[in-house]
Amino acid sequence: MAELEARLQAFEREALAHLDSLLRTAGRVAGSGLDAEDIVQETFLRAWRYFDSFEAGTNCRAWLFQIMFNVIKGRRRDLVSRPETSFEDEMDDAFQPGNVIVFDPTRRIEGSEVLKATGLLSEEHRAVLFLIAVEEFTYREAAEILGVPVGTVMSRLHRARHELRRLLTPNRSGARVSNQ
Amino acid sequence: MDGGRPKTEGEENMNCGEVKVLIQLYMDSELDARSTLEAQRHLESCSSCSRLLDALEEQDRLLKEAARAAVPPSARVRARVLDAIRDESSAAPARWWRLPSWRRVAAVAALLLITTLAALRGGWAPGVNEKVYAAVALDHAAHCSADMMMGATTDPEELNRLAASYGHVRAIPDLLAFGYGDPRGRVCKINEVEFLHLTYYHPTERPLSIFLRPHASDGIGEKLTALNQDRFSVVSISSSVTDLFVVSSFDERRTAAIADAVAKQLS
Repeated sequence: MAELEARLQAFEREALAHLDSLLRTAGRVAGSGLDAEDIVQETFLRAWRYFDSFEAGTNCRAWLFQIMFNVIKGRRRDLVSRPETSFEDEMDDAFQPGNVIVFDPTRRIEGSEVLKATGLLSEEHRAVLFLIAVEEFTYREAAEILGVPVGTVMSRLHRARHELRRLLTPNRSGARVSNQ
Repeated sequence: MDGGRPKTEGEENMNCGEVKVLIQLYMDSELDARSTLEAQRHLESCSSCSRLLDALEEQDRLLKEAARAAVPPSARVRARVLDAIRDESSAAPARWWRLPSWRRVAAVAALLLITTLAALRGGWAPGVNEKVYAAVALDHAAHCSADMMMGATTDPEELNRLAASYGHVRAIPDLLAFGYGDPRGRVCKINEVEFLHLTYYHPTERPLSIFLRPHASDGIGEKLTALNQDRFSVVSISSSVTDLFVVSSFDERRTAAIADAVAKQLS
C-alpha cells in the first residue's frame, strides 16, 4: 500500500502536473462526439500502467500528449459507424454555415474570435496549431506526438495559420467569414 | 518589398519569396542561426514581410491567451483520475509490465529460465537462440503499445529504408489481410544484435510485432518454429539473408500462419 502511494505521488508530480494542458487541448482538438474529460482520464490511466517504464527526466508532457492523441484516434475510429455531427454544427450562430458575419474591419480582433475560428479548421490542422502555438511544442515533438513526419507538421501548420488568417481577415464587404 | 525578386550575383540577403516560405519557422524559432539572421535582415528592411510576421504573431498570441484563459475543470478530473487509478490498482492482478523495475527484472529472469527449460525439454542445445525468443517477446511486451513506441517512425519511406537494411526487402511486410495496419518501426538491440522492430495495430486485437535482422548463424532455424512465451506466441523463420520473428497474442497456429505470409512477402 505504501508502495502504491509512493508511486502515485511520483505520478502526480511528473504526470498529473500536465493535466491543464491536456484538458484544454483535448477540449479544442477532440472534435464532436468525444468527451474531453473521458479522453484525459483514459490518457492518465494508460500512462499510469506504463509509468514504470517512463524514464524520469525525459519529456513526460510530450509522452502524455502522444498517449492522448492515440486515445483520440482510437475513439474517432469507434465513432465512424455512428451518425456524426460536424464540428461546425456545434459552433455559435455566428459561425453557422450559410451566415455572413459582418464585422467592423476597424475593430481589433478578440482572442475569443480567434479561438472560435479555429473550430472551422480541419481536426488535423487544429491539432497541429494547438500543439505548436498554444502548447509550444517543437515541430519534432509535435511530429512524434501525432505520429507524422516533421514535414507534415510544417505543412499543416502553414495551412492552419493561413486559413485562420483568411477567416479573420475582412473581405471587401467587411465580412470576416462568409459562406454564401 | 522586393516582391520575390531573384537574388543578384553576390547578394546574400533573402528575398520576399524565401522569407514567406521560412516565416513560420522563423516565428517558431525553428530556423538555424544563419537563416534566422538572414530572415531578420530582410524583415528589418521589408515592410510587407514584416506586416505579415506581425499579423501571424498577433494571431498566435491572441489564440494562446484565449486558449489558456479558459479554466479547465482540473480539480474534478484530477479526482476522477486518482479514483480510477486506485480502483484499477486494487482490482487488477499484478501483471508483470506494471511491476516496479526490480520486480520486472525478476520476471525477466523467470521467463528466461522457463524458456531455457522448455528448450532443453525440446532437445535443443542451450545456446543463444532460446534467449532470443524470450528477448523478442519481452521487447514486444515492452513496446507493443503505441504509447511505448515513442520515437518510432511511421514515415513509410523511412520504414521501407529500414526494411531494406534489416530485411533485404523493398518494403515492410503488409498485414492488412490480417486487419493490421498503422506500422511503426524502431531499431532495437536484442542480445547485442540489432533488429528492426515493427509493430502493427488492429482496431480490436492486441498489437503484433515483427522483428527483422540480416541472417545470423546463431541457431534460428530455416524451419518455421513456434513457441509459447508467457502470454505471447513467438514464431521464427529464417532464410539465407533474413531472420524473421513474429510475436502476437494469438495462439501459435495463427501466429505461424501470419509468419508464413510475411515470409512469403520477404522471399
